[in-house]
Amino acid sequence: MTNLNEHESAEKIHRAALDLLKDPGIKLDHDEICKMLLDEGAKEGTSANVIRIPQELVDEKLALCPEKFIFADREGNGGWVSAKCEAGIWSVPGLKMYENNSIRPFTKNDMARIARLLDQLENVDGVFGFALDDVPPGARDVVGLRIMAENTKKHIRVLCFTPQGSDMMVEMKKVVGDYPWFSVGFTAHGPLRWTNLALEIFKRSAGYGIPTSINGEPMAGVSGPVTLAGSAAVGTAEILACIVINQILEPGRPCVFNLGLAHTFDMRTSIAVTGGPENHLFAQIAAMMGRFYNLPSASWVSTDSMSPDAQAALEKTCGFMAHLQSGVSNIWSVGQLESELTFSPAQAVIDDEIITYVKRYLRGVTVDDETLAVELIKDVGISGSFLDQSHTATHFRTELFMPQLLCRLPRELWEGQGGKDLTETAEEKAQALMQNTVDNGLTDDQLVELDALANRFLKQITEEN
Amino acid sequence: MLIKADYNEVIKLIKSYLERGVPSNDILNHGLIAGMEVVGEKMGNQEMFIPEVIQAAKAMKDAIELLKPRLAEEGVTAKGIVVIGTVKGDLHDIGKDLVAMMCESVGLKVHNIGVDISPEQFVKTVKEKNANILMLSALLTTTMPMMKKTIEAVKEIDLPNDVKILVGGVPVDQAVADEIGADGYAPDAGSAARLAKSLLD
Repeated sequence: MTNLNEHESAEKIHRAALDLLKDPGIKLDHDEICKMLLDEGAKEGTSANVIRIPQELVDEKLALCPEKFIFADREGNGGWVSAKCEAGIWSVPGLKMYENNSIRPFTKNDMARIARLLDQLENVDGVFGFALDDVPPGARDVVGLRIMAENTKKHIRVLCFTPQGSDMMVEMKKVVGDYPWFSVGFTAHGPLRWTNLALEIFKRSAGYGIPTSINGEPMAGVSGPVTLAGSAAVGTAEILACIVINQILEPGRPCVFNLGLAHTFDMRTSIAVTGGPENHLFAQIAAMMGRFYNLPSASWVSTDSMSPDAQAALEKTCGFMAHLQSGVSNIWSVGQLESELTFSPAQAVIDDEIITYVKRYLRGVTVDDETLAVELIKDVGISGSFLDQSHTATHFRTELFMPQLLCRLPRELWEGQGGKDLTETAEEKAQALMQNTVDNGLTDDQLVELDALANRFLKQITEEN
Repeated sequence: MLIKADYNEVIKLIKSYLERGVPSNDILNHGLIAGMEVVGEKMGNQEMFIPEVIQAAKAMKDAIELLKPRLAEEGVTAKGIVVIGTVKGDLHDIGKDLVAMMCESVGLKVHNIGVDISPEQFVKTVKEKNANILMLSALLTTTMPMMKKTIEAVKEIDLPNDVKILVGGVPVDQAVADEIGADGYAPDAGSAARLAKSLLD
């Protein structure tokens, strides 16, 4: 943060958020949840369904949030997620698939293929659901969960669509195990409002230990002040309100403070910007506020580019560098293009490489006797070579970044191998990985049961429509 | 003054023209609409940005309010009537409001009926306002089917005008528009307004 130190900045944003929760309060399109809040000491605002949440209630409910929890894989394993953990990196939701230079709506088959791809990418810890064009909207969450469960062992973040979907996913959870092998979440409708859809999804998924991300997603200049701190205050107020709600619904529910989805509004083209420097500043604020509240934070690394090109590389690299350096706990990112609308398998593979590159940079330099290697230098002597030394053989794999994709060939060799650029190489690798089968960590019986539940739900939704 | 997005000067000028007896039609077409066309061009060339365009549009809207009594006396009517709203189940309105503003800027009479609008409400308003253009917005993929239902509902009824239906929103594109039976699609507010105007010309 410029000008102010971290704690001072966080305190100011927190105070501003509390002020907003008191006046004007927050609109909650859910009568039952409004009543719950009033029963807990909140006050009515000046219009229908506007609730003023006092600081005491915020403090009380924040204290119930677990400081750490896991996003489990299919076998119940996973690293601890907290305000100060190594970042977990996930893929992203979206609407469209960009593949081999063409774009189309995203399908069930795409979901299966990219889940397998993401399962094999070293830096990906979680797989996000998608808007499946060949599934009725009301069933996309459930069907998506089923497809992802079969095609990856990694943690699944469902793309939530309906409250009924939440009910079915609770049933599906039991098939695999009583651990958080998937998580949910939803976004405020800013400024300062949570819709009935969002609140009902939180309500129906509460009580089962399912972690939830709570997303304030202000757009600076539109649903929040154009000045980033002001939008951060709006988003923080939205998130705090919903943390209070989730802790009332399920005391101790794992919550992620997600302010890092915030955007700016491009004042020329009206798109929601996702790859700009301000997005990375919002991620920095998200991580800072997460540490302030002692909660895991989340953010979103994306690009406004339409294809895996130089703009995508620039924005993704800046993003990963900034978000990882800021200490965000959970980064949604891999594979995304076009301002969060599109998934590209090639971009996913490039993103995986970028992350490895950035992680190497952030790991820094170890300075100790072994790495200084003064005795070795003396042994090798003036004008000697280190290439044949066992010290080199011992350390090079951990000391040096070894790209899987980036070109480091002499030109003649590169031309001899087809003269491909990064995007072509990445597309080839992605296509090859998508052909592989993966270990999903499930038994055949579990898959059959998940299938039955998803199909029953799909039939129900299709008949209702 | 409109091109400079100077609200106060625009209002001052309009009042002065009215006092001097300048025909309201001239003020509207050769002053305000012509000015907003330049604003639109400058927006397209990225010489003016959305907040500035909004200030200019606000000035134009309030200027038209000042002109209304004289326009009515002189029998001047809007180039067309637009009803715009976000479909049932969807509360998003940023893009829709920008489109409404841009349509007003090109001389259309706009009834912005808000968000979460049912097909029945759209039909009722289109009939009541004698609209020529219906514009539907959606941001959620779950509410896009409601666009289709709304289009079907409007097309089922007998209307005095041949109502053209335009759609837009983040998950919408030309292919979606064609599939659901819309008459047009626009990716942003400026092109939406131009499309609406071209359908009426």
